[in-house]
Amino acid sequence: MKEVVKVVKAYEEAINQNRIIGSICNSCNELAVPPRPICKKCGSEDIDFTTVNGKGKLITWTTIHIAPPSYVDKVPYILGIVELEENSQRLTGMVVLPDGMEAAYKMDLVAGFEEAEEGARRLRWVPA
Amino acid sequence: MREVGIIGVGHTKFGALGRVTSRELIVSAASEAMEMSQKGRDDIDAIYVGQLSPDIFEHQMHAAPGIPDYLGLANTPSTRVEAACASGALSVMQGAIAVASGFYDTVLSAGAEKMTSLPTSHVTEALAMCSDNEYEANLGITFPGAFAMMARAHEIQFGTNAEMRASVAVKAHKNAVHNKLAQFPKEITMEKAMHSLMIADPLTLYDCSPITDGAAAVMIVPWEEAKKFDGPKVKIKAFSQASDTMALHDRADITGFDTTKIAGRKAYKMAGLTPKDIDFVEVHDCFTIAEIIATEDLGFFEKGKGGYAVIDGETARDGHLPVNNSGGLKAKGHPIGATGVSQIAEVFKQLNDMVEPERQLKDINFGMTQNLGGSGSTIVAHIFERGN
Repeated sequence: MKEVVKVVKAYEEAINQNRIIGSICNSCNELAVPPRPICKKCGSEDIDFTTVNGKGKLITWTTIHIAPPSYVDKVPYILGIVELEENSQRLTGMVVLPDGMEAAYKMDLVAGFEEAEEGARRLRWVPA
Repeated sequence: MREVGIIGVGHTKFGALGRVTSRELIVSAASEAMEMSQKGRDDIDAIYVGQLSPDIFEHQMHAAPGIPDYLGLANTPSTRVEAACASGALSVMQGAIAVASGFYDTVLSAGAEKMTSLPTSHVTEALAMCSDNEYEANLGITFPGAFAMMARAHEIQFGTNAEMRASVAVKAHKNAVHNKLAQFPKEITMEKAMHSLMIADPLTLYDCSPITDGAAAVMIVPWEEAKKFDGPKVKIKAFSQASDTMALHDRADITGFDTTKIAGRKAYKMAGLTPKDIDFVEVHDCFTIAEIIATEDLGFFEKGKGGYAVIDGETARDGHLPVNNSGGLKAKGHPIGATGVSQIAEVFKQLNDMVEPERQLKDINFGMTQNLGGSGSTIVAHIFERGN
């Protein structure tokens, strides 16, 4: 029997500690964020978790006006894809900007973390 | 592997159809396909049915046996195929594989969705479950939102603007006018398309396909049988499928779909054709930008030129490559599981001169379909050849 590699649980636990983790391959050194149980590049199962610096650039975004029930009270909100400094890995997330500031291509952002349900934390992106 | 063909299709009206279940809709489409193909109840070896979620929309899991049950074929094997919005074409592909392999001789492939019983926000939530739950849906993504992010990336890189996107919607509605099965058979103006309700910036209401009920079905048999059939027919020249990451952000290029490129290349190779040989195409325009991207990824237009092709009229009914002559998902409607089958039924009818005269294309031999699931994480492509 092979061990179940719980990358989602590890990622969630890291977010709850205000950090983002990825998987680093011990065979080819490839970084993947979010973490993967098997290296995307070389297929190795020999992976470890590593914390990334949470800095990135906004590469595309939208302002959502029609949302699912759990997000209806937040509209309109900006959702974007952020390209991380490290290995050009990308994450989706809500982008929270101060009043008067508009989203812009390649805007510098940094991971922020806010309170979610039942004491959990949730990833947000804020201006660097 | 033997060659396969289609000898009958069925299609309900698309729209808000009121109190009706998806299996009743499939019975209507399937009966029409059976009649057209002159297949009786004892002839059908198996059924494949593409449905995204009878679970959420109708509180019905294990929906597949309900189809033969209502068709009076209760012991016929019936399998649900789910690949988000590509469920329909995948049910046809599974049927084609089953007949091509020789395991079955006659397969009914259908697709359906009954969506309008849920409020819009709940439909939005159900569809968002086709994204990556851990890394997208949980963080507030919606499908209009995902395609809006692609639209913005395409605009930044290639200048594909709101006018080009709106031109896709205007064309779709114009094409649907004479399609009696379409949900919205009426023209809209550029003005209306560009200034409608904002859904997910930069996509407005008229950039988005609607919420729809409907079903479609096709009858798949060996080509050896089909070619002798005294009725409408097409040869399935190619079927192909490709997958990609669940999350949009995990792909290096978000201005296109590797899945469409790969499925397209595989289909052209299987058919022994090139994009130049294709006379018309039905692509998955769940959002206007998706049609533009699809025509680029399938090799009909150079990358970044798809939007210009639309405003130049190249994809109009009288253009050199009619795209979504049916009205597409945008105006014909998008009952998720039915959509891929509907595209194929449309190509079948076009290749047999069976559509309304106002929208019948002339001198056509090869038609193609591209059906997309998720944010492009599944693509199914088919190519069909005129059989008569």
